[in-house]
Amino acid sequence: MAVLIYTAIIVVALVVQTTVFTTWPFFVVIPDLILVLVVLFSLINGPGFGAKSGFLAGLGFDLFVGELIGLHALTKMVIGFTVGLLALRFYKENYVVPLVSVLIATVADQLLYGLGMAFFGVTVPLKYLGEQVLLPLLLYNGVLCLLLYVRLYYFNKKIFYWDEIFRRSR
Amino acid sequence: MSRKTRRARVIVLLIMIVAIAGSIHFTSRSRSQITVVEQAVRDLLAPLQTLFMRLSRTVHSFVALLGQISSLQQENAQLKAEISDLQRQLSQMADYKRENEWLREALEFKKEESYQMLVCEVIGRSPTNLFNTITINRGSKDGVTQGMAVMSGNGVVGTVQSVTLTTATVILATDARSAIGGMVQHLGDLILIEGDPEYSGMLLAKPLSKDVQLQVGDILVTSGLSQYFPKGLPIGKVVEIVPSRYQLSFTAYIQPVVDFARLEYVFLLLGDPK
Repeated sequence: MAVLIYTAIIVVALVVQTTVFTTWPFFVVIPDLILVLVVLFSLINGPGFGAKSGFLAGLGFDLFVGELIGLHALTKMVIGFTVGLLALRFYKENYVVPLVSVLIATVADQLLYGLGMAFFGVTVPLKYLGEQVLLPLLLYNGVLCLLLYVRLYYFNKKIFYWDEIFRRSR
Repeated sequence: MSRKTRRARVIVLLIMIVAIAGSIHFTSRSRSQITVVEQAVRDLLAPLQTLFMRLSRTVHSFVALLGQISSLQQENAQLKAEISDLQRQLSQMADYKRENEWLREALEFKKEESYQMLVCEVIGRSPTNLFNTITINRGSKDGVTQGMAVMSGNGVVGTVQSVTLTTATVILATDARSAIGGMVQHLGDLILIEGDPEYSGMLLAKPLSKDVQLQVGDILVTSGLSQYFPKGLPIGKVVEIVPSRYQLSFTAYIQPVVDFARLEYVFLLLGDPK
């Protein structure tokens, strides 16, 4: 049950990212909703969940992109696991930890993906990423984090509650 | 966790890493066909993408309209009631106007060129900032194949990169991986037109011969030498010419004729011109 709900969330996020976020002119770059969700769910549910959700969400992302399939799965898995691990040490019932996590994860994701591209012989447009993408991406991802964190936190509790009811009813 | 279980996990993890590395390597080069998994995912999500794209456009048109209305309200407070009625009409009109303009462009193009065309709706774009692609709502069941030329009413949009049953991914001319055979319209000199690797939104023109003389303002069109692009389709206009270090060659920046940010409908050129 919980797995289905998380999968549905990731699928809708993927569709939103390929449609809504690419058509609205005030987005000068495309926000990474998938990354924000992976980071926030990892903060809430820990490293194991972070790694799994990061891998699957990244793989879905890769299948849409159709290039370097598996690279987003790897980068987002590493990020989900690391954020989940760090979250065990921090008090996360505030906005600072999720916001800082999302911002650091955004930079890390770009770096890891760029390194991956270079490793597999694909040219990395460093100037474009550094000068035109990174700052707006940090801004959008930060805003998405602030908008979503509390809602996801309580929604996550509901998912576990529904999951429990579903299990007992079987 | 027992030693055996830990060992099994490490082995599974290693196998996964090798499989992923293989997958990345395999998909880092251009492919003639995409995998069944990619096809299934894209086909399954295409209806949802269409729905979200249409909703997004409707909301966008409505928000744009709200901006207009607020300024009208400031100027004519007493006409609020009338404006509310006009709002609904304007919303419809904006949709009709956009559709009308696009269809007119398409019709004029068809009159001039007489190609077999297939009208397609743009239902999605690449979710990443690194690749410039769009997804259209036509696939192999409509006769779409890899490499086909994609146009808007104005000119060249790109080529079909991959096809599923119901969708196709189009690599835009501005993408760094795109390369289109072009020529200078009034001279006929051949030029290779590529996407800018630094994603400036411009195209880069690289002359195929050192004798080619390009000037700012020159119009570039398709050369017709490729299998899919017919001759003479507009690509863009030269806006800047940057000579190489020793003045032996140059790179020209081309402003594309198509507004790639606002693509809603495009059309595919099917087969050879009649």
